Amino acid sequence: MKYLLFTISLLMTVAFRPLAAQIDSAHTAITIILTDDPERTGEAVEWLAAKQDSSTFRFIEAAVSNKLCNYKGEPVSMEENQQGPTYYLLYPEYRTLTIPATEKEEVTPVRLSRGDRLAFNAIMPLINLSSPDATVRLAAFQQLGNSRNPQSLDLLQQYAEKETDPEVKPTAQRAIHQLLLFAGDDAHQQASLNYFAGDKSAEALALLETYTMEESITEANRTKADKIMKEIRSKQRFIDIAQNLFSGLSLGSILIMVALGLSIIYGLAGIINMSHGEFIMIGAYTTYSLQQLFIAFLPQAWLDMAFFISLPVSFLVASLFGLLIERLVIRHLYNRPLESLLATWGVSLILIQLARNIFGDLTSVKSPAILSGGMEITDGLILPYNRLFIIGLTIIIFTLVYLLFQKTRLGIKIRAVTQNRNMSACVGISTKKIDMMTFMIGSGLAGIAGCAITLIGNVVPNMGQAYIVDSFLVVVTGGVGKLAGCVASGLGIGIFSKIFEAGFEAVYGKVLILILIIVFLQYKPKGLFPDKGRVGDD
Amino acid sequence: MQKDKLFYILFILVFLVIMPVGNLTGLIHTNTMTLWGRYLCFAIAAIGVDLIWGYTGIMTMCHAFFFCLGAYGLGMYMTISNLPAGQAVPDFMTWNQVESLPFFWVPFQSFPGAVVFGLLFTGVFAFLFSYFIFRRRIKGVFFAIITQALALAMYLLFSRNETLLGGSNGLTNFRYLLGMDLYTEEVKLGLFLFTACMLVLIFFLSRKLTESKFGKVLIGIRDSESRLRFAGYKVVSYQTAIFVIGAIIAAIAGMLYLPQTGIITPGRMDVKASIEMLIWVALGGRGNLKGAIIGALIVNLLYNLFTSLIPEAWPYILGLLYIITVLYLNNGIMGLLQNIANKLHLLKSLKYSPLKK
Repeated sequence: MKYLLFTISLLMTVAFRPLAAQIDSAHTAITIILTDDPERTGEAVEWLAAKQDSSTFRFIEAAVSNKLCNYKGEPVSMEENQQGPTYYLLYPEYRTLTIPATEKEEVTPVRLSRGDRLAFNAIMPLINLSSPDATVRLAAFQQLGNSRNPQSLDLLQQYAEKETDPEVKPTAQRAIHQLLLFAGDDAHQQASLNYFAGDKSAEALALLETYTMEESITEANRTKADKIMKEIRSKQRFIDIAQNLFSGLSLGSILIMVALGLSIIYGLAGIINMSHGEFIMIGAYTTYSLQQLFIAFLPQAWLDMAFFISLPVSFLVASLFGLLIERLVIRHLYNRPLESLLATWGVSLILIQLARNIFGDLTSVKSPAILSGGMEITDGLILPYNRLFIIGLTIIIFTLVYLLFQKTRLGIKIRAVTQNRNMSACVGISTKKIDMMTFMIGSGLAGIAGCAITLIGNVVPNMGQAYIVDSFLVVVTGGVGKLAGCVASGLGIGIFSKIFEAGFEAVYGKVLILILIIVFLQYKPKGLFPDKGRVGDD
Repeated sequence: MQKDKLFYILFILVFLVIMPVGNLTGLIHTNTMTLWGRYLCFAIAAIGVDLIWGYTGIMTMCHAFFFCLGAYGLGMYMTISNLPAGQAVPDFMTWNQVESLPFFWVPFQSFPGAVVFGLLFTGVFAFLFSYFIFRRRIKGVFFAIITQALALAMYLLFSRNETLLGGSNGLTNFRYLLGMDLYTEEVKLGLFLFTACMLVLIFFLSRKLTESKFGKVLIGIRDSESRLRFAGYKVVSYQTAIFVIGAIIAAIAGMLYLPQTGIITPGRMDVKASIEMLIWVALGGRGNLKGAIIGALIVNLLYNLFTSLIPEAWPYILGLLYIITVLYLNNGIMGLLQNIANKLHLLKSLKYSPLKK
């Protein structure tokens, strides 16, 4: 009897088991996986992998990346971020889920075995293509494009049509044509070549380079590919030149801002200010300090404001430092350029060491979000906003300085003292005051330049040294105390530097610039815009 | 003249008698001797700067580059001669896939070749560079700025690996010079004595130069270039000549410097190094050869003192030194001494002046 009962129960188990395991919907399969029955999990995984139901994709993604959790029988996933964990419901629909803090204990992780996770491998590209994360989709498109597997084509086309993200869409199209090019027949290859002829991107060039190395392609296609490659290369050469001109323009802008101050001061007072570079550094550290203050005391959202506020502040701080140094050292050295060069070099050593002692060696300023990214002129030619900003800033600053010199009383006085110090003093201009004001303006301009430089580089104690020699060369080639000369030679040196740097190494570019300037001075020893008339030297 | 003689006797007594004797009797450590040997090299270079800047009024900001040209010239010879047997090129060339000596290393394979070509190259370079600038009457601040740019460009050029001069690591690993072991105490003392003798020799030659008619013209150029030009002198020739002479003196100093330090890197020729040479001369007293020597020795002594005691403070000290020298010691230490002497003399003459009696 006992045996009979046992046999029946055994039979019943065997008989009913297929019934219980019958997986007929995604919901059942998910429930089985969540309840963690090792035997039936394998079945459920296989069923889900075979079904390729897009509503289960987020669930599979979470399971594969080990983020799957069980919350009261519902599949959820958890993302940790700064505000705390965020929960997502994975099936039947994908949405965020609010779980009260008291019930957090009830979210239990569900781990799949390695074998089960591998079972999903085959459909992973498909899942990734539908991922809400653009970078995952981008990678998936690229992966399928590289696969050379013609069977992926339908899938690719299907998802490429659905793709809406402007960053991913070209990659999706390119992936389709890459697949056609490497795995399609002759008609496909030609269609794809036509596409790349219009695409002209750097990626297309790399693809075509690989393509022409294949041996199986027809002669006609090879010639066509060669022609397209040629076109792409010439387009890229154009982009390179434009990019170099643009970075030359932005370097030139910085040089102009720095050299303006140098030139004005030298023209007015015969002072070669070797510590001018250190006012750049002061401006940069002012920007840095202000940003640190914002981070410490004000809400996150205001952080971007810090940079724009620090533009006038760094002018102010640098000009105050300028005033201090003018009063302490420089006023004793008027019209003794060579001596002033040595003394201000001493000032520069002290300021650099001071910055090193206060701030340490390497700090950087976070660029405001508005200025990150760039303006795409044509495909592949991107002008970064921060450099555009620097160019715009220089135009504004230069206009202001020009107006100050031409239209205000102070400007007229500065020009008068520059032309003839004694005569100006005779007609009642306080030359002392003008000297102070000019020195402050010059230093302040360097401070603003320093603030702008934080957009494109680190803040280090000796950062000014990188610009100072070039700015001196700007003053020499432009002619002393000449605003127009400053602009012309600043842009000239900036653009030539970048062009030489592109053609040669940066170092040889510098040597070439120097040779060019020496040759230039053979013809124009007093710079681009020399003083008219004859003035006795000594 | 009396004071000059006192100075010479004191100098020779200290550097050619007391220090060597102290070293031989074990009172002065050999490292100290080598250190002073290096300072004497700087003093030689300072004489060159003084001739160009102090006497002719041309501020040169690339003198450390000429110093390094000499050192690199000898360094190339020493690199080749110290190669282990069987190795054709130094390691840094092998790393750059260079299997045989580059053409510009070839003249430096022998010692006389290295010395001659080192000085010749320095001279020719200085001539070409300065002639084309002086020709257009570019002077003063403009000249200073262009030489500064040259110093920067050359510093960057020598720092590159593909210029095959050792990159930023420079030339090093020398042990033997003409069969002499540089690590032995006798050779170190010998180098010190040789440097001191060279300093004396160059000092007297330079003094002769400044006292000659040529030297008077130089001072004339410093004080009023135009008047000299109007008087019919070819100012360019004088300027170029003194610039080349100064550069060659610096190169000699560099050649003496190298075996005593055992390393030469591009760091020795950056803009900073050249401007430091100016402060040696400015502190000692411009237009005074003794002053240049004294200035170089004092600044380097201070450097040694402060970098070993409080390294952080050295930039402040050096910075203040520049400012104080320019603001208060216009004629340097020698000028200060002269002033004091004059005042004492004045007091003395007041004491015995007929008015008082």
